[in-house]
Amino acid sequence: MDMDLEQQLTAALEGRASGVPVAPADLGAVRSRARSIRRRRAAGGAVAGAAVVALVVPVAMGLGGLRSASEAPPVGPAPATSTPSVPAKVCSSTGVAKPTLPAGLPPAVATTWQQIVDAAAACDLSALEALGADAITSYGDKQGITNLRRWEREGDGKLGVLLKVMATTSGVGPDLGGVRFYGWPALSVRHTWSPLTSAERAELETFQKPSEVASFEEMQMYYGWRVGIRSDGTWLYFVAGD
Amino acid sequence: MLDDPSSVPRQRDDDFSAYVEARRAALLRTAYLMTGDLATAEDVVQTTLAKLYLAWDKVSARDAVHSYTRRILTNEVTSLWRRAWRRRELPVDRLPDVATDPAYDDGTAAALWAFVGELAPRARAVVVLRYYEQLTEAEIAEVMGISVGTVKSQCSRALASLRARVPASLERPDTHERPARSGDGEQ
Repeated sequence: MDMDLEQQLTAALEGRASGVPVAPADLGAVRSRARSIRRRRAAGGAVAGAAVVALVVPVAMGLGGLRSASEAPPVGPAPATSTPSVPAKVCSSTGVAKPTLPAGLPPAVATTWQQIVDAAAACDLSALEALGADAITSYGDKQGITNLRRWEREGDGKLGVLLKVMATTSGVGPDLGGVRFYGWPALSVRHTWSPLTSAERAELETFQKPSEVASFEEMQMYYGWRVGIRSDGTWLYFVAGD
Repeated sequence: MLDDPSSVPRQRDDDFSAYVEARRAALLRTAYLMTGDLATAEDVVQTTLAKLYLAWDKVSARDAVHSYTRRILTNEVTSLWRRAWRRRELPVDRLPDVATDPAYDDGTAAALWAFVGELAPRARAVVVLRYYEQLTEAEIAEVMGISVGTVKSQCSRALASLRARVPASLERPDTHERPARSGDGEQ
């Protein structure tokens, strides 16, 4: 009887589906919605999504997702970096220039920036995990730090990318009720798109392929690797994709 | 890398456009079966394709695109029902604008469709993926991010629910011949 019911169920669904009228695809409308999604995410929507190569703090940078300052983990001294989690010889940050702290950042943001850079340069995944606490996660599987470790182990590490992203010019997002977030590269937090300058292009091409940069320009949005730190020093995300 | 960087977006759009042309109808049918509403299904498919477009460069393995797209679509459908405003029942003053296949218009299909419509959203998605998309339990588990055991139990409960409600006349072996699946060429 079950088989009979299953077959009838399949037939019923197929019959129903066959009556669905299908209008021609409108690629322009798809692209328009894609821009809208991207803008929403950049302006405050959840940064969660489907990309499989992403690390992000779930609170992300949204209005709805922002925690109050009292809930933010304290920004303390840099975690110990004496025991690298990954042997230096296989670390993706080996040989990548360690950037120097840019001027003009708020003290809490500057502290976190330096801690991230120190940990990435030292291949200290444990320190990075501590900086992100339990908030840092990957899209979908919530195992961001595991992914960082795995990528390093498998030879597709992103710590070098992290250092290069931190070396880019920073930008500051809008004031969200007394809270701001700082983003690297700057155009990752820019609300409106403007043509890339040669300097911006050069910065991006230190960690993104030219074809990817071309896609950003074509889409008029940036969705490559980016880092965000909230004004209270909370590391929000290290993420790529949407 | 292509010699002419300006050709990259063009090639990207051509690839994406070809994929949309080939798959949009199938996606819309699946979305309709999962939502039961054509306008909602079209909206879900539009969002699904937009998200796919954003991730297009990162979905390098073309044989993985189908499952990736199906995952986005299923997530979109199931997330719809988490939004309170979607949970309201909206009165309608017209019949659904999707006609049933006359071959099944003897009450059987309509009855089963009505029962499917009363399943919980996630159970309904499982049923559509299993009995329309013909995915294996493992594939459904992958698409929905749940365990195979959960898929099995969802299917089992859905079937039990249908069996309990289906008229006795539907239980006897019938004379329906199973037609060729519409849209097979697009799968």
